[in-house]
Amino acid sequence: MQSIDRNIQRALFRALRDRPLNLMEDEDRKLYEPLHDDRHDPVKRLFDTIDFSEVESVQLVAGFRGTGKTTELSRLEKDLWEAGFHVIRVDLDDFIDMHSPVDIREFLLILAGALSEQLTNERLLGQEKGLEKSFVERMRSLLPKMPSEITANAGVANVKLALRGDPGFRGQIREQLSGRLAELTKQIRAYHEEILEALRERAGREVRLVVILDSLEHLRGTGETSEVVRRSVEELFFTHAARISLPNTHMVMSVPAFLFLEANNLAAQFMNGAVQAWPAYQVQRRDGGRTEVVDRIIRLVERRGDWKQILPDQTALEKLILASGGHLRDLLNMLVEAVHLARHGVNAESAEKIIGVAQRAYLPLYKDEIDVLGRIAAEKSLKDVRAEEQERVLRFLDSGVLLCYLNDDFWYDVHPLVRDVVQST
Amino acid sequence: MTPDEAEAWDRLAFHLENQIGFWFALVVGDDPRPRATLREETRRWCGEHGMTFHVHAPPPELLASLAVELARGAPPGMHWIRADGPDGLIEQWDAATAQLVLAMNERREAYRKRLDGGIILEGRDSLKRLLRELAPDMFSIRAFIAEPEGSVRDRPQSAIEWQNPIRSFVTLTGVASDPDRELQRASRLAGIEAISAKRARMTALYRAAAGLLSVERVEEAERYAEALAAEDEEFRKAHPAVALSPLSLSALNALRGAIASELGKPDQALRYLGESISSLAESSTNTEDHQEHFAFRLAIDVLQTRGNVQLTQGDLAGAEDSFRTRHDFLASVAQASPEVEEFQLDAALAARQLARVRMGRGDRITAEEQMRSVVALVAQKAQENPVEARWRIELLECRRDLGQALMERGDLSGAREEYNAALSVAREFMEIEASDRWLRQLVQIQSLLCSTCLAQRDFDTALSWSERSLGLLEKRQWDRSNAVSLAWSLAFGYAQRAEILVGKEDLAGASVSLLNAWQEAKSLPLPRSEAQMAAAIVARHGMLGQAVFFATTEAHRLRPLGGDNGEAPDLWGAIRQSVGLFKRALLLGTRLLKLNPKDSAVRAMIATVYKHLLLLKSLQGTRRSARRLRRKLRALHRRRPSR
Repeated sequence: MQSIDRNIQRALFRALRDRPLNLMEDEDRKLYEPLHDDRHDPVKRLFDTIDFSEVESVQLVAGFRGTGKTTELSRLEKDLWEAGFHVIRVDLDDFIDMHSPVDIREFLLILAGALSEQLTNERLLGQEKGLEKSFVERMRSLLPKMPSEITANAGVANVKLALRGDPGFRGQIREQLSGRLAELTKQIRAYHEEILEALRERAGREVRLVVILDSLEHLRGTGETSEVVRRSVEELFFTHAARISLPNTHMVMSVPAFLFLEANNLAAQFMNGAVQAWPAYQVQRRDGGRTEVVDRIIRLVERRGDWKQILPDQTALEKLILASGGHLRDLLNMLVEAVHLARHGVNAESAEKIIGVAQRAYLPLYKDEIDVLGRIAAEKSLKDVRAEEQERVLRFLDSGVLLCYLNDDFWYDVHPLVRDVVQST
Repeated sequence: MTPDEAEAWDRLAFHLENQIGFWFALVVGDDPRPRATLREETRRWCGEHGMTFHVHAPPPELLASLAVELARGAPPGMHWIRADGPDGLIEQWDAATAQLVLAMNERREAYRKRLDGGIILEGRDSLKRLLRELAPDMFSIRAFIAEPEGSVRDRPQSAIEWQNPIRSFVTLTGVASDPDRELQRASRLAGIEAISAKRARMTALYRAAAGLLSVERVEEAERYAEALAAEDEEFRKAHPAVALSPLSLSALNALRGAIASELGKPDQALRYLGESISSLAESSTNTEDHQEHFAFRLAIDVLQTRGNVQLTQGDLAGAEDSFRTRHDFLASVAQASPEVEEFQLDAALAARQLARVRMGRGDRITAEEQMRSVVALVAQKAQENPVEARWRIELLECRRDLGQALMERGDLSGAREEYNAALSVAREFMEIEASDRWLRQLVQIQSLLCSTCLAQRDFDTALSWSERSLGLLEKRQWDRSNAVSLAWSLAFGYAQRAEILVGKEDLAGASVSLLNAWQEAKSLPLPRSEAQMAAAIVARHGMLGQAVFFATTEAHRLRPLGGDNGEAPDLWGAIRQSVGLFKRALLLGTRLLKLNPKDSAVRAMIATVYKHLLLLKSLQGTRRSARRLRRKLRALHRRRPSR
């Protein structure tokens, strides 16, 4: 039993650390391995819908944590640029307080402000065009009573800070824009027209703009706020769907999973609307058989480093992949644990040990959890979930205890790491 | 280390060596000992590798605010957060941890951007579910979960019932307002005429003042609380609809009272607190259900502050009245909900507090009876909940207080029994975690045992207790944050040993020990919390000064006239030694008096020392310095604060 060299260990640790890849960058592209097959590739579906829609479209992406969604959205961005689209990608985590109810008036302002900030990117309008100023001026005319330090000298950054961190400021916006939603929508659209015109002018041709809004799925209250946040999100997407789409623009928004789970008419709310779900990678079929995704994941691991330094053989690696249930973050955590254990030598029991450690994160499961998970595991679906249990199921999906898969339809299973416990208890 | 601890430590060390930037991990388990082992190993590792190690161990009610502090840009290094401990009941910790992980989840991006180092969250097994449910993002980005107690997978997997965190405590443990943000908001709202804006400004001002007080920016807190009170006064005349409701007004006056008390303005504090109670009584007629809990907690807090202020003013009758009312409130709630541990604990604490004040008033029989009933209740609770450290802490403190009550009544053997019981609990905690906190408890109880033995004139046992305490303290293995307090304990320990040696008539030994006490104390900062120890050291200097002088004069008197069988006692040397002791007493006493000029006991003690010194100076024939001392004594009397 030989222990691993310290430098190799460190290099592997850093390569396997979980982080989203940005495929717009060369270094990250080397680490990327496509895991979806063509038929179920959500990026391809998103791209096709954008490409085939003539003027505008809205696509909602219901994704779960740790399934590589941010990396895949960066692939979409890269593909779109390569196909001649203009792309604005915004991480709304920087703009929205994800634990408070969201209001359509704030959302529209955030949308305009976020676009304005991204336009300074050299591939779009660049620093000099100064459309940021225009946004602030519009905001000032809309909100004449707003405090001077927010709307006067300040740029988007200040507004961003106040919107995200100051519930009082958000309250004032709601109050001042009360009964003026139509006016606000008109202003935002006029501003967006200005953006399109400026992009056309700079490009010297017609521009097909795609706006990708990432991290909106984090919009979920926790504990006592979850109900009110959920209602506010539903209102945003169902009551105000027409207002949040931008004219002559394709939009891709990641949305909380509950919207997708609870409503089947979501896509119909938008012109050229579509809903794509971002499942976990299906490493096993419903009947338990191994899929070819396992081979792709092995290639992904190979891109990150020489896994033979930390695991005895491919069987051990496959064991880990199957135990991860296709949840990439869990797999990477297990591989980091493999790096750790390898310093005492790699042996035949390594995989079992690593799986044991990974299981601890999810255990113990409590009686109330096991009741619900047991029913889902038996049926591989959510149809037996009672209304009062929905919140809990969403939490399971959020934390990865429950995984969502897609063949031709969606199906659900408890994480392989806890399956035995659920079935045996 | 056990094999499980070694395995967990190996994993933790691996991440310490390799992680860069911000990372997050958990150390969980219901047994605090293995967690303490890992914490100490991490501290050692950080020390050896030049990494700063910060342990955050706030009481449960301040836990959530820690998430905010760390997000503001904490210093680089390892941040170890303890979300469990003897300062709260398990259910209180669960509620507080729920708030903490919620607040951390909201701020994960701030940590990623601003924190160069790891956060390790230490807590009970329930921490894993709380994190999984309430902070899925933090759960998702965890680096690892260490379980030094052994894997839960190895334990029997019968389905465990989940206990939701208690609501009453959750309401108290929210993240405190950021005062600067509230002030910005208040200034933005200034001048806006809409009623809702005016209300919002008043709320912002209140939160700002409360937030400023909590971060000890007391003068600023006073300014904004007064600004709010003035605005409310104006609105009351011009727009009564905007003025504060009786309940809000009560909260404002409670805040003003607390601020005035912090600023050392007891009369003002009592006035505000009285107004707060009046408004609270007015509000009780139209309080809605959801405000009831707030009103109750407010009343409890106001009575606590008022009692404390009355104590500092020496108004023991008033303090007893405040604490009795508070106790009656809490006892009635505890009686109505016997299943809520938190209420039982609050009632026990209030009863003990009341008993202490009664003792101070000389009502020793009632105090002792009350103390005994609290001890019985707490002992029963501690027995019923052996894993609940908070009840054991309370048992330790109750037994210590009962011991003091018995000592006051002259029941010295009873007192010794109680102190010994308290000591065994303190030793249990010390065994779990050899920290400064338990060291201080051990030393304090041993010192009380020592005092009991002294009172029984059992000098040998007293000396053995004293030596044990000094043995623990002289190692000086203290955290910087506790160094002052423990150094005062050491100085006091030397002074107490000097007193024992005086009892054993070893004046030379006593002088050496008291010189050690002086050397330790002379350059130490003197915070209010250590005033009692400093006063005891002053008193022992006075006592030894007298003892040395009188012993020598007595020896001189008893020396056979004209005889040459024995060396003549050095009277002048003894006077010089006594003068030195009195001078040291005056130096320390003067510092003490500056700390609290109204402390009449210290003033009287200093005056006595001056008189003794004056006598010796007269004997020495140094008239000029005797005159100077007389002037100082007169000045001391002149500066006596009026009652």
